[in-house]
Amino acid sequence: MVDNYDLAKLQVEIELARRVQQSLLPKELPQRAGLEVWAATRSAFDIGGDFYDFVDTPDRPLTIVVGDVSGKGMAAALFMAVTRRVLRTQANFRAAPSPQTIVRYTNAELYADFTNSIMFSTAFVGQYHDAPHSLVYANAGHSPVIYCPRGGKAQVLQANATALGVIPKSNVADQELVFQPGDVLVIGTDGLNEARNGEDRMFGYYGLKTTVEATAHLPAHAIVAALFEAVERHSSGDTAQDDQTLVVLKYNGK
Amino acid sequence: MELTFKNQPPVKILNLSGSFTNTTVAPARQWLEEATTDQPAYVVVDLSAVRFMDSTGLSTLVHALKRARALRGDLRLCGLQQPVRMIFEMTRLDQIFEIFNQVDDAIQAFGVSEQPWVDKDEG
Repeated sequence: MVDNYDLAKLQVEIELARRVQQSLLPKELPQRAGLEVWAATRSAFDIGGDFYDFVDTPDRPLTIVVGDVSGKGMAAALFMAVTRRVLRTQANFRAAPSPQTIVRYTNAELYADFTNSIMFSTAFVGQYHDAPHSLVYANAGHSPVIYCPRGGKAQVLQANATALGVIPKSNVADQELVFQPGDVLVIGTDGLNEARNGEDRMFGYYGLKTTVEATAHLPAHAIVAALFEAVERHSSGDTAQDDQTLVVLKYNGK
Repeated sequence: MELTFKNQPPVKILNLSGSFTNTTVAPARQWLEEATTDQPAYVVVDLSAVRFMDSTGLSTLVHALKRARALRGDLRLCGLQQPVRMIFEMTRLDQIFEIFNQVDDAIQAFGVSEQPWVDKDEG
């Protein structure tokens, strides 16, 4: 039986965990000539496992990470912290790691822990290169990832391997996206496309794609704001059922 | 969410309906634990009446799949509706699970008779 005191204590602990989780997110956005980067996250009522990170080390390409640990609550929050840390360590300390190397080693490192805890985590890891202006990325079961070429149709970029913790040896492979001026890449989490309205209809990939197409001419921060606003309008302002995270890259050219 | 189950030896079949999510997975998780404790761990999960599945639902199925395969069995899925199929495709879990349209196809893929209780007419 949970009494009022226990409930209040639990709520305080969840709030503390949420603050710790927020403190793990980057305090500054990375700066690259010709590239706008914007990121934001909105917490659900229940603590979740969304995370994003930037590993910006001198003499290395900028590494961008977005992930979503399965489930909700303290377990998801704990694994979010661990997964973020292992990805960061692989990106920082392995010699010239490509995204697929970072993801594969992280999977090998965490597979047993995920298995024991009945969890997994999606992970999108991208590295921005200046010449040519491109993003090499590895996507382990993460969605939504939406690419919108300037003036063109937005398209969903599908993962080519499953999430961390599902199979012992990840077969994720690097892919490359070469940017032209005006191109936009949106990396979100499923709390966006799965946001529901009063009729139980999801915002969906279609909602995300049309919003990205309609706002791709705007700066990256305005695209993030417009996406959150569109999702919130769809859900009639109801409290989000799941975390919603967005990282938007917009290449403007030099 | 509702669940019903049946045995078609040696295959155990779980039918789920409704939303398979964080708040509803507990009974199915318990059934799957028991179904993947001993050999032969041949399990079919019929998702034809599942409208939505979140990451907790997915991780429950992944965990049961690992347990089944560790016992040299398997967990197979069938009847995925479009929204659920899309979740499997976007997470690439469609590469990990064997997925069938019909429950009978999933059962037969274990190499057992579709209706083993029907007597053959020897006449």
